[in-house]
Amino acid sequence: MFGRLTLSQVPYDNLVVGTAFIFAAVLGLVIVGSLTYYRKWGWLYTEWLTTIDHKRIGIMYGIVGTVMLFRGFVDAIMMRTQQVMAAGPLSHGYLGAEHGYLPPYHYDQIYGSHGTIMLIFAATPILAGFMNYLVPLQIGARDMAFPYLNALAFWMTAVGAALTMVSLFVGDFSHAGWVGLAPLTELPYSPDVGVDYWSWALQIGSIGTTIGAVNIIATIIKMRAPGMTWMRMSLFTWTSLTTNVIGLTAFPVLGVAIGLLSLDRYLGTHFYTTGLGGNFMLYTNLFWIWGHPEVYFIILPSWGMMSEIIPTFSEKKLFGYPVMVAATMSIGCISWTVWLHHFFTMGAGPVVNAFYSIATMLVAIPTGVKVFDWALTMVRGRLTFTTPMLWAVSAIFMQIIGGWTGMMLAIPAINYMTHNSVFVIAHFHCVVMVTVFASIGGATFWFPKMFGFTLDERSGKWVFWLLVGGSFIVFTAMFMLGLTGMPRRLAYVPYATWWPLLAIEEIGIFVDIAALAAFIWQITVSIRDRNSNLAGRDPWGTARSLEWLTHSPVPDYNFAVIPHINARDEAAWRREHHLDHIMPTEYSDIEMPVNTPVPMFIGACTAAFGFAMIWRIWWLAIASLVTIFVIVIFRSFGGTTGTTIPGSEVRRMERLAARGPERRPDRLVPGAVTAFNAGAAE
Amino acid sequence: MSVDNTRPSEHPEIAFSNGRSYLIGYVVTLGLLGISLLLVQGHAMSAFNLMASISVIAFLTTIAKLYYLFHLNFSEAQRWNTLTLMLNVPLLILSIGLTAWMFQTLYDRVMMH
Repeated sequence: MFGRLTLSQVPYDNLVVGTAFIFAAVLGLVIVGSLTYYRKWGWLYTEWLTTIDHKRIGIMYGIVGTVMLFRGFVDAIMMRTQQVMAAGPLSHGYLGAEHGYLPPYHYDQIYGSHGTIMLIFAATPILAGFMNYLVPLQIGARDMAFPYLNALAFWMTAVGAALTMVSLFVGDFSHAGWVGLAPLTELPYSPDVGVDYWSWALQIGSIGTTIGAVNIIATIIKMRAPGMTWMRMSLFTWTSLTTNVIGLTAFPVLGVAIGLLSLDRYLGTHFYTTGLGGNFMLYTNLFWIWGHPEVYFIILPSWGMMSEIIPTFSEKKLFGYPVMVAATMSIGCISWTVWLHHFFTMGAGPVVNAFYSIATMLVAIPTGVKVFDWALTMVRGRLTFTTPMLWAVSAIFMQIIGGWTGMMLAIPAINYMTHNSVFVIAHFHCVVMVTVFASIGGATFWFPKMFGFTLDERSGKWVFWLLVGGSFIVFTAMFMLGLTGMPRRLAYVPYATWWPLLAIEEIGIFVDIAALAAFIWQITVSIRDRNSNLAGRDPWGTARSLEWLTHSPVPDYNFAVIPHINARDEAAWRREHHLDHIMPTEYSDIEMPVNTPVPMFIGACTAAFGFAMIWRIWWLAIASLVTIFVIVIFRSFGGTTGTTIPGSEVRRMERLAARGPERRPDRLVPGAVTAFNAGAAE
Repeated sequence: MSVDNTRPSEHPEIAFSNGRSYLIGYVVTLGLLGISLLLVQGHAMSAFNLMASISVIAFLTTIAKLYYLFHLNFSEAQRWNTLTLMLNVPLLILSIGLTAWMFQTLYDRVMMH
């Protein structure tokens, strides 16, 4: 009836998990209680859960990503603390562990979940949220090409994240690391459900990313406003396009790799076994064919955000825009030819290693071009160091450190020495810190556009200095440990001589915790003082791209009139020509998609399906699949998918928005502020 | 190429579909897969030749599916769909070719001969 699921699978005697459960339960009760108290359930359902508006989906992506980021960060704190407590044979043990406070099996699950969560369920959703929110605005579209598919992609991602969270309290998570080391993931070596949790969460989440990628590519190619030529698109849109081409081509490989592993585990095939015709290196190979494009999937939108922020606060146009676009595209292409550098020590021939070494070093060329472009954008600009600018500039520094160490690791001779050491960990953490810094910078930068008020600068600077300082402390010490020869993934550190550096890392992570506290303080202060920080169309005063021409927060229809694009940095062009405060003489009707609960129901059925497959509850799995098919078929007969906002209503909403902190429009122009066409002007 | 959303029958993918081609595609792909199954079951040739012939059959199956089930061709309506699929060919060559190359050197070095 319940497959392998029994009450004994709930780890209620584990103090660490118990604490996490109490925290989650209290938080859940607070959220449910306040929703009930303020009678917000109906609002939550109609406005958010059933939405297919790209802006709300983007914000929900951001919320899911931020929650998972917090969980992954707690995993990181636990790992640092375990290593500093378990250094040397004389270290004490607590809570039933030989050294430190975590037994090896539990520690293994923590580094596995940290990697999975941070890359797949934190970084990817946060970036997907930015892309969802910004891409239609930056190309002047009303919504995505496929709004309904967009909601479905979000719910798939959320289901993957939810399964990862459930694994904390029901059963175990994978103990084979986030890459799933074959043949450790095979049934004889991982008999329980941990690997299944990991594989199904990854599988379902990757479906979400793939269909989201289809959507964004179609949106960019087909939905651009009149005048928005390819070379007028803002750089964030370009990076989104490249990233999603990578996502669309690479994620199916992950689906196949994990799918074959599931066949091994469920049906007893021999794809990745050590005998009977299987080849466990094939798994590593397939995984990294996806895995390396995936890490560029994570870095490219961050570069796009930096390319938006830096020109804004330099008051100059981006230096070398065409070269920047070419660099973005070439990184997307090269990403497919470098995957063996994750397993140089596999034993392939020297010529093979040399090929991949050179291919990997080629990535440095477009990346270097980007760094020089950002630097030359700042040269002789009017720099204002607001928090987004600080984040963007520090991301460049992180990029340089991560890139240099990457070039070191690209040399097979060095790689043979540092493979599986924490030097590698420090390297790729520096690179994903670029994503973290750029994302926080981007969040600060576009927060007024999303919510209508700016974030508090003073506490934001505290967050900045604490997080950057903490990160540099942690990873500098980690580089040194790596060059000293400390392997990664150690639940027990054998040499007491490594303790001082581990202690420095622990200090660094505590500075990061202080940054988290400052971040919570920043959000609190900003919400408290929101009425004194209301944002107009362009709260920064120097923003350049199209999304700053509409109101903050953005109305449902994005632009009252479909914009006409006259220049690359449309908002800056309008400012120069004093066209940023004009009103249209008339408004026409706007067609909008209708909210639907179907994607949420499909998501719920997918969650049931994943859970059932993990615990081998076959009847539930079949029932969920059948329900999904029935829902999809039922919807295909459904009635209306679109609605019309009449022009009079648009006029009313625009008048309301103009009562905010925006400057009064000073003249009426046929068409609109956004539709002003220089070519047609008299 | 804009399509009126209120008349789904005018969408190219609907306009192209007809029962006959779906049926042909189904029969052809089933037949090809059946041939490969019989070859393996009967141990019809040496291991390497089996691998080669199954690869060829898989390629033919792929083409048949693309032609009969997805209706990919070079007509006005489907040109973009066909082109975007072709953009994936370099990726296939890269990932499969380089994988074959690296595993060949790996086997030379680590397997018993």
